[in-house]
Amino acid sequence: MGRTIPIIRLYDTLLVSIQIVLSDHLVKELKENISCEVRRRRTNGLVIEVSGVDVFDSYIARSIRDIAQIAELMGTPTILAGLDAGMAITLVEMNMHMSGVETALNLENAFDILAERRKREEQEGGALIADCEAGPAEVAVEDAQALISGSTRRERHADDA
Amino acid sequence: MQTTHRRAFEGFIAVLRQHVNVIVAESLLDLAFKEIGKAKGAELSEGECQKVVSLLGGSLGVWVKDGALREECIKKLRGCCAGADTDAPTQQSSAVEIKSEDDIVNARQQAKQHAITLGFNHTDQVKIMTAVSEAARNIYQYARTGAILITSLLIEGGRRAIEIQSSDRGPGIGNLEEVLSGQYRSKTGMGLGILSCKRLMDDFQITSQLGQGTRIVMRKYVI
Repeated sequence: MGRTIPIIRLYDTLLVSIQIVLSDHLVKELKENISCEVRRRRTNGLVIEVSGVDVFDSYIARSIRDIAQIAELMGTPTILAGLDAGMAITLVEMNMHMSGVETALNLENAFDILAERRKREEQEGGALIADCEAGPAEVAVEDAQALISGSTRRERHADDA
Repeated sequence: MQTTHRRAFEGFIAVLRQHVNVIVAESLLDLAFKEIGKAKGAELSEGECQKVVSLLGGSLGVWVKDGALREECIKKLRGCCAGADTDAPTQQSSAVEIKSEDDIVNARQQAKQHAITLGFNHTDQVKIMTAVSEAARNIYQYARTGAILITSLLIEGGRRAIEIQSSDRGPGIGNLEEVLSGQYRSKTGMGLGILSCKRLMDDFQITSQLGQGTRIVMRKYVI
């Protein structure tokens, strides 16, 4: 086989750019490599970039959805970036639901979304600590749990999927 | 007149790309047009068209070694020069045997070429390529081998269409009605692929017998 899809790390975000035709072998390898990498180092997001894909059919849609679910189970949200107009129109007409996968128009937007989310989490974390310092804080159990697991938004997404 | 020319240029590219890669095709055509002093978007007279063909024929020798293939290419290029009434693409077919994942890519590239020559817009080209991809992948995934036949059609009244035939001797589909109604949810996505084809194309026909194989015929018409 020889070919493999590289996973690029940018700070704590993983970037996968799909530019070659996917096969069962490549998809399996990608799933294993991504889950390994997510465990190895702190990862706050996975961006799958598909502007290099020539035909976005149901096979590639399913594969990306599976990869996103695996990453999600390991606490890492996935953003799909680079779908062009033709792909989007075709996906809707095929009635192919990419549920559970957030999308962004392009790579910059994807990284902006992740950066904003990181900032918000830091702010929420900071607010909780400030409350504690002021005195015994009364924090709702759900909020505390949300902070521990990472993000309320990610959980909401998992519910929608 | 404008329409005549546009098809000629696209026709030339479509023909050349069947024999050489896209970069070579475009540079050969650019050079030929420069020789006759015309811009890519210009109208060509019959004589200018023929001149382009003979220029291309000359340079093809370097890229297409086989004499017979070269002759065939030049004949098709001449076909692009024909007058307005025979300007439409002639009925031609491309057959792609599906034995490996690379063949899936090959099939959709062939379909794209036909779609471009027929004059489909970009979005329709994508839909056609996707439908071919779905059919080819089903063949590869379930039957292991099969074939895709892509035909450019000329129907009475000047209507043009692309027809995709997909056939295999695979396991066949038992619950066709269930699959086509969209109720069936397969883990491997087989029903999804067929449903996608049905939605993306204008005409869709499928016959399948358990243990015998599956045959799909689908068409999309140029508006």
